[in-house]
Amino acid sequence: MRKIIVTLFLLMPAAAWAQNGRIVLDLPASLAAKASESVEVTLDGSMLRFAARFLSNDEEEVRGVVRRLEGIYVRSYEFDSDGAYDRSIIDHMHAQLGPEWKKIVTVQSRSRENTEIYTLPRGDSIAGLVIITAEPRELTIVNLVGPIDLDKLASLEGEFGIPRRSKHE
Amino acid sequence: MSKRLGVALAFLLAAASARADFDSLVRVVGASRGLHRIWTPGISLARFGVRLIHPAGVHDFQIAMFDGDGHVDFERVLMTSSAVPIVRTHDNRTGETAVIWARPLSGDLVEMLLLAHDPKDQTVVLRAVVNGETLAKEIADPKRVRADLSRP
Repeated sequence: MRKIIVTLFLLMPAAAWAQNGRIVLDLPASLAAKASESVEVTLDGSMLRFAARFLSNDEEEVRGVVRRLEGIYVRSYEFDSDGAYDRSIIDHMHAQLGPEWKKIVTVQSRSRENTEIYTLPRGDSIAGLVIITAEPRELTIVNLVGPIDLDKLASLEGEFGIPRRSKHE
Repeated sequence: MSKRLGVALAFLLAAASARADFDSLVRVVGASRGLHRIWTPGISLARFGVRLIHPAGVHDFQIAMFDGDGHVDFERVLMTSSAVPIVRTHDNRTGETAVIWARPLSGDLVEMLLLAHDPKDQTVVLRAVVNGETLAKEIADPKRVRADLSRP
């Protein structure tokens, strides 16, 4: 019983954070150790607002999206062999997404590439977005925090460490 | 007057803490087995010049370079600063690693602290205070800024 209470107590801050659009991305260090390549990007609101000031006029759309964001968090790992990472990490991510989060996209390809996109609706807008892409040799988790206009979301592709949808672009 | 004093004190404290981060990072890298620091003559003079004329939007910098086949303890590296790095990349095949911390200062200035480690080459610890606008232009069009710099 004590274990259950302690576990619930430990999960409470994570759950509260997730309702704010941000999920806890403290992935085990062993994941980066096993990966052949790892990239971690952590940009909070103040850094994003600062960066938005220097985007060129051609990137007006990106600037509009970035200025309103409170955080961009990316974790991306590539591995040399199939199944090198523990898939329970993905379950841990799912567990953080409470009932308020809505899955809006699921893509499952023959190459065992699974992509899921979750949003946290707030009225007419979105307060957070989580993209989980799990391939046999690659795991990428992207968390955008703050008001997001889905129509303009594509403008962030390739910026701030956010991967492009197609690697062939 | 007291407001100005407060701003000056805050700036001094921020600068002192940034220098402390740089110094402790240099200490951690310097303590890594197999790495030894390379001293570059005239770096203090270059720093003084940079602080006066701000070439390419750089307002200040500190640099420490290391040579040798050493292994940097990145767990210790991450403990040198209370801030979370904005970027952290690691290639297990080559051992190349880069960690970047950044924080906005007053106006258009941003302070960056960078550690770049290549086991087959050098390890560099760099602290730079740069103008965000110039940095953005450099990223968008590196050739144009280099041309501006080479102009007499």
